[in-house]
Amino acid sequence: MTSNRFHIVIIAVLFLVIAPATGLGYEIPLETEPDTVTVKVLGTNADSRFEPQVVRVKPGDIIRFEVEEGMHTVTAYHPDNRRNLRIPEKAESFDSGILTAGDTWLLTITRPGEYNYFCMPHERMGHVGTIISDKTFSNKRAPIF
Amino acid sequence: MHLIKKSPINGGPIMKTMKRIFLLSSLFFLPLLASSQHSVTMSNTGLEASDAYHAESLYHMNAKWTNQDGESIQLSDYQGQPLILVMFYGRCTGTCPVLMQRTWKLYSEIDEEIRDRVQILAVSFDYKNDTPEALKAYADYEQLDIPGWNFVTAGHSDIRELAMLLGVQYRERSDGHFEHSNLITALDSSGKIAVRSEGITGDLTGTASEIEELFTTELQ
Repeated sequence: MTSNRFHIVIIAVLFLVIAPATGLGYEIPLETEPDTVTVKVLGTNADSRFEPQVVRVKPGDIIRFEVEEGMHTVTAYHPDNRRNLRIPEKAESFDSGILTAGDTWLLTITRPGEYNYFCMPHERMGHVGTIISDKTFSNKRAPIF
Repeated sequence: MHLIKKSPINGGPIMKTMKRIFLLSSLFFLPLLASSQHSVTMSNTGLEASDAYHAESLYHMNAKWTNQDGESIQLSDYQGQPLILVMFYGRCTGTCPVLMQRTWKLYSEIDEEIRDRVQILAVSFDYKNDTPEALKAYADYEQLDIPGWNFVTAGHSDIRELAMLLGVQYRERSDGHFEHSNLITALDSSGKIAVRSEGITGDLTGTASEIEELFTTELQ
């Protein structure tokens, strides 16, 4: 009996140690800890794009915009930027200013909701992106059994 | 961003005549210089602005400009009031949208009580494509078709002359787009250059204060 319990404890310990390394089992979401999500800013002129174009985050997360080529901006659809409001009503407007290849710009999302943004030079060519901020979202790995 | 402060040039009648001769001869030779790929310094965000000719009022220019509503405008129409001038072109997929945003920011910083009396003149280099209809569509899209804002163009020589007086350099590329300086200029109520802000990066606080002071003083 004692031996069986001992084996169960050993198996449980091994599972807890090995499972995270192999991708098995749960990871405990640390909701208070912000994540950093990277969006690549690519292309020039008509080829300009944000990749991924739509990202999901939770409030408090940081979006890291990495410009790989061209000259771009990351600008909120907000009256401050002469555009109709397309970010949450109480969220602050943002505008990176000009970014060129090699530049990195960080944006912290503080409120839930949908944030639409554009690149000033290439907006008319469809260079736009969306951030969806959801309190319930976690980009930690889902459990796999 | 560089902030270039007003630096009046003094001189007697002979000096003024010499300056006029230099100015006129420059008008002839500048397009030749501009056509050479290697004659103009270029940064990654545009051509650097040159010094401006400060001694004469720009309100003496005779050129007639046409705005987004098809109306004729002369710089002399602004005599007695300050003016913010910016040169751009509507199809720009480079720095112009940011330059226009900075102009908008400077305008927005001016006290609301006098903002409705502030005049902005946005002059297009691209006289071939920026027709009044195109400029109207541009102003609408950019949400800048508001009182006091005029988007204008004119003939090639008039655009070149104004650019030279402001110190704006530009040249048309083979693909129809333009390399150009990024310069916002504020004229005082006599038409002389009072404030220049070059570039599309950097803090605008200092320039905004100078422009607000200019308009507050000159519109009272």
